[in-house]
Amino acid sequence: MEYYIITLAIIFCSDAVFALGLNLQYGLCGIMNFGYIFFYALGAYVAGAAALGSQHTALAHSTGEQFLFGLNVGLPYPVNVLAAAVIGSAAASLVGLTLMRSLRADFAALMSVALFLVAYGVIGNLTPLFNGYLGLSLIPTPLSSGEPSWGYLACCVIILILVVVIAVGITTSPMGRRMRAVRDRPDVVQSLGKSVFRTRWTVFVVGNGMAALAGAMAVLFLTGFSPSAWAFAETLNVYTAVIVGGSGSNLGTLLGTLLVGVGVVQGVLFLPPDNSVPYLIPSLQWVVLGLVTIAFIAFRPKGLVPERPPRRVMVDRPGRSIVARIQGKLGARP
Amino acid sequence: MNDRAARSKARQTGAELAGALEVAGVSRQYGGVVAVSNCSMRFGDGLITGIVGPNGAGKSTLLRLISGDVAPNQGQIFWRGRDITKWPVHERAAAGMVRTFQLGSEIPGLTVLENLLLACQGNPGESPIGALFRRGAWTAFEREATERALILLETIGLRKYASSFAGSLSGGEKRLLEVARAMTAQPSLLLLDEPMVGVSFVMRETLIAMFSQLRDQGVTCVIVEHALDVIEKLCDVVVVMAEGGVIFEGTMADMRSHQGVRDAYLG
Repeated sequence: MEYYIITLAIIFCSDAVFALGLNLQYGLCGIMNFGYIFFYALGAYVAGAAALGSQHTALAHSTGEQFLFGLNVGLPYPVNVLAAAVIGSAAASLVGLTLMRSLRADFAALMSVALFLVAYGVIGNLTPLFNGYLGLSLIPTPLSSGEPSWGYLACCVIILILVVVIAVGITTSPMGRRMRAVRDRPDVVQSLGKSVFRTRWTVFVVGNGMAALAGAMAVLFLTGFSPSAWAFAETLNVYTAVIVGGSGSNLGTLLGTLLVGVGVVQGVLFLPPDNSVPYLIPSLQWVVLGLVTIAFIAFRPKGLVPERPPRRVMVDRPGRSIVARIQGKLGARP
Repeated sequence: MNDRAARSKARQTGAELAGALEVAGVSRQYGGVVAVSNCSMRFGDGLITGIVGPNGAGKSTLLRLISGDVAPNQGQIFWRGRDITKWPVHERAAAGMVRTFQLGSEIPGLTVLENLLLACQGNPGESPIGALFRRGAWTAFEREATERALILLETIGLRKYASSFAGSLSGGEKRLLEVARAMTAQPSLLLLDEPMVGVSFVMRETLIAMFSQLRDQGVTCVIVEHALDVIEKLCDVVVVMAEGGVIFEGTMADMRSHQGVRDAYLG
């Protein structure tokens, strides 16, 4: 039971970081990035290969595993996680130069799908890079002797807290306001002298850096990663979490991750299996996810925790507004 | 309009036609439809220029060419001596060229106050690094900007809606907000596309007073309008467009007696 709870908690931390990055892009800035899972995978591969390079290189090679074209690039924890986030952001900065050019959200969405398909095909077939469709295995988990550990969970919680601080800090700042304006009326934002491309590109880089970080967190716990773990449909998982929780709301995104990423996905596993239908349980996960997504978009598009309501303008004394205070200073009648 | 006519106009109006904004031979087509045809004009610095004409004359298209929303098929646009023809919209706006929109342009997901704060230039909190690591700087900036914005909202009677979402305002209130936001952006050139649409008589007078105040502060204004009474009260120079070209430039009084203008409006 203890190991199961630790497992769920680590999965939640990784999924929450993943979802917060999407909320910044999609919920707050209106960026339709359907290739989002690619950056998660990139972070997982980088962290996984770096971890293998630092500890289990010989063991991995003995099983025929190939990665990084035979280069031995070993990085200890947490440097490998940091490297994953940096490389994820760097890749996003290059990809974003093209994807974020267009003012039309549907063009960016289509290009992100195309990016995913190209990346999936290359990584799956270029075996010396990340061992092709077999993927990486025998990845060591930090602070663990093989079982789920409280030590690694604590590290994941710390990373999640840092990401929450970053997400909330951006959301509640003038940057967050600009992001919401770009989401709602990019043409107006342009007319006020603010570059829509620069705003979207910046958010794209930060958000996908978070995706890569989440991938690194996950792979070091899962100890293995292959293309089957980042199939295109996995994108629905994180979008559902953001939509159910409340797109544009960081608190809603965390709640949505708990309910969808942990609740729905894990809850289905408790259903009694039917031996006559061996793939029933995995299929049911997608059926339930799909139905939940459709239901929320149709009946509760703002999610469980809608984007924050407007903050009241400060009044320093009852009945006396900031304007009255200024006029008082200027000698005018309040 | 050629240079001789521009200098003549300068003597006539007593104003300095410094040519802060100039369009030279601009044309714009949409498929087979010519919206603007070989249009050349100079807009007087610190003056309010009104552009009128029948529907389909190319007025709004000319404004969009100047603001950069559409690119000309031919010709050039100059602003303070620089060729801005290929400048993107946000660079023109950052250089002081601010426009309003024919249809509503409030940002519905932001409050009224936030709509104004968005227009402030140079906010240190509008980047992730600034947002996270320069909190003190942008907090002070926002405090000052909020005080100025609230005073402006008080002036135009929208103070009580400061915390309301902009999408909840009436049509006329949205128009007032849009103009207030344009003013907050500290423009040196203001492009106004039918600002009086959907505005009550009282609000109209408020807007006229605001534009006049801007002109007195040295802001160059170009206003596209159908309401000739507004043009007469507000504008130093009147330009009439028809079928994509300029057919008259001068005072309101001269416009009324111009045969070409009569033909354009009455057919």
